[in-house]
Amino acid sequence: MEVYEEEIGDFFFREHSRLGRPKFMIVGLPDVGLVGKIATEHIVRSLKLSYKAEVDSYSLLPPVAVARGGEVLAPIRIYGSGDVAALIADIALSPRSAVPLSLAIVEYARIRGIEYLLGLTGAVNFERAEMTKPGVHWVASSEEASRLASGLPEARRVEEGYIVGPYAILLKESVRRRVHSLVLLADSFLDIPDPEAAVVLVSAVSQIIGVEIPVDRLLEEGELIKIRLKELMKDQKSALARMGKGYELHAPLSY
Amino acid sequence: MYEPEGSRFFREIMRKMLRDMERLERALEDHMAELMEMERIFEERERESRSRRSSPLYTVIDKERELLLIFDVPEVEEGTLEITLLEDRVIVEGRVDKRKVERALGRAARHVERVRGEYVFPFKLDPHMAKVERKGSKVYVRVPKQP
Repeated sequence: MEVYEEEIGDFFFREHSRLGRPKFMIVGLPDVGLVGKIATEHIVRSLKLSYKAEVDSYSLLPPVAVARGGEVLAPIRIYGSGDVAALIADIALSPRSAVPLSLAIVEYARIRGIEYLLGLTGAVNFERAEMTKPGVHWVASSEEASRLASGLPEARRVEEGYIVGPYAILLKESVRRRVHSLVLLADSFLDIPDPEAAVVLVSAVSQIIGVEIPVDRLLEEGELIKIRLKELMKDQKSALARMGKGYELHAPLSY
Repeated sequence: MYEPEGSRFFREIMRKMLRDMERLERALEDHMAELMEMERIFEERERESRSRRSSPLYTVIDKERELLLIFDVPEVEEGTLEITLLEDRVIVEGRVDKRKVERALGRAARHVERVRGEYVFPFKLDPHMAKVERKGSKVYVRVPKQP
């Protein structure tokens, strides 16, 4: 079997089955409220995306292998089908690995001719507890990427504030390398997994890619998801503090 | 003042070496901090496994007039949650719903019997002034700030 392999910095991307040339690649890295991870995993499951590639680094990531259904998988994986690909990570990202990983994702998207990167994450909102439906906000690396958000009437463009962490690097590097990236942020708790915030992101992605993605299961299984992700949230919380997430809290995003 | 070409070259190399060493030192410090954090997390998990008790996730929101604490306890069995408010702290404790945890984690679930979380306030409070509310898996504790 022919395997496509790309080494970018300290990360390698090994495609076990043909990824093709998807139009969109959704990126769901662990970050605020694990919102991006929850949303992206739901999209992978709902759209029945199949396992395409592993992303790993023996120098920057802890030596972890994920065993699932008798298969050995890397902790960061790409799934895909047709026009849609999605990248998910099962482990917390330390500041040391978050930066090179984000750089590598942007470069991989450029090399593979992926048209748009859709980053999904949470934005800390101290009023989150009072909200029934979290809001969606966006930041784009290019005019073309911002056009994707024009189809989201309820989403607001971020006017000012700091974005800290892997998505900050993803955006900056996308500008430098002329990759069209749109990062969608949902109002979220900082350090409690937030499936309700993930729901609004899934709906936004659904509108962008033009494919209906039901969210009922995500709402029904919210508590089970939170139990599953509790320990990852604890790991990521400590990494977020070391990443300088305090800047984001000091100057929250304004819309 | 005249400076021989060789000496300028040597000084430039020394400057570059110093910069590289500083960079290396910073990278080593980051790496050490990361290792220590991983060790701390490992010890905490080991302690929790031994005591069969885990700590809940919580967040603290500093509002203008109150401190809002949110504990998230989705694994706690309905009707077993106890919230104790003292002068200087709040304690949240409950029994783990094993069936629910097994549904979420499968056989990989750790044998944890109880969930217990404690938050110490930065000031003394009158426990009667605090408001406690449970919504779904979350416990909201609102404590008015001292004047």
